[in-house]
Amino acid sequence: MKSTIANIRKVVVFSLFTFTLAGTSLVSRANNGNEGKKGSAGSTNANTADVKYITDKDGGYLFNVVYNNISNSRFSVVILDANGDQLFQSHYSDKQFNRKFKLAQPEEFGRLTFIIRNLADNTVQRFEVDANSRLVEDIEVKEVK
Amino acid sequence: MIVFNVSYANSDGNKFQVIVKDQDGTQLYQNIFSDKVFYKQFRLPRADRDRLVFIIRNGREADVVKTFEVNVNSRMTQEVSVRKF
Repeated sequence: MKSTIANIRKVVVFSLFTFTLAGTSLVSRANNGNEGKKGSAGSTNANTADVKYITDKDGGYLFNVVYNNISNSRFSVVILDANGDQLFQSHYSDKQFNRKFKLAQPEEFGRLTFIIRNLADNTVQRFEVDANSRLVEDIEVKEVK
Repeated sequence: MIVFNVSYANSDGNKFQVIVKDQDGTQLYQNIFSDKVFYKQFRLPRADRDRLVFIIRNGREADVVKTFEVNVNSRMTQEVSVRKF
């Protein structure tokens, strides 16, 4: 029973993320001007990873993960939620990894952790994403003549 | 809070009333002043008011009535920050 629940949960959390392959190259992404500039950390130098937040047209949350895997090693991308529960994990070996991850249930988004681990040299790059919601009230006052 | 600055030139120094009402005619504020140069800031909670009426009554001339429409648009915004460790 416990394992069934665990399996169901795995499926559910895995479905939280859908990912799309980015068509642009790492170099072009690194040279890109403004996209995701607001929520960005790290740089796209050799051996470095980068996670950028991109505002989705539909109001969702897109994260662009870039990893310059010059050694062509296998590496893992893990995404954890605020409780440390794993939402996504996959292994890759792309030399120029550049993918966008979309949060499927943005209403539950508080904190995310992206962990990129190079399985050859065991180096880990960790990114924390925080979201703060606030209510904005635009008040318009006009005199009635 | 919505802030209104009310000023009134009362050169004779006579008494006058300041009354504030909402859209239902409910009186939110009333007071009597005699300042020659009246200036007062009214801070009103937004609440669900969509209309506010300020009345200045001196008893000798017609009331000065200023009516304001208040429209509030609420929206949620989310700020996202990414930090590398």
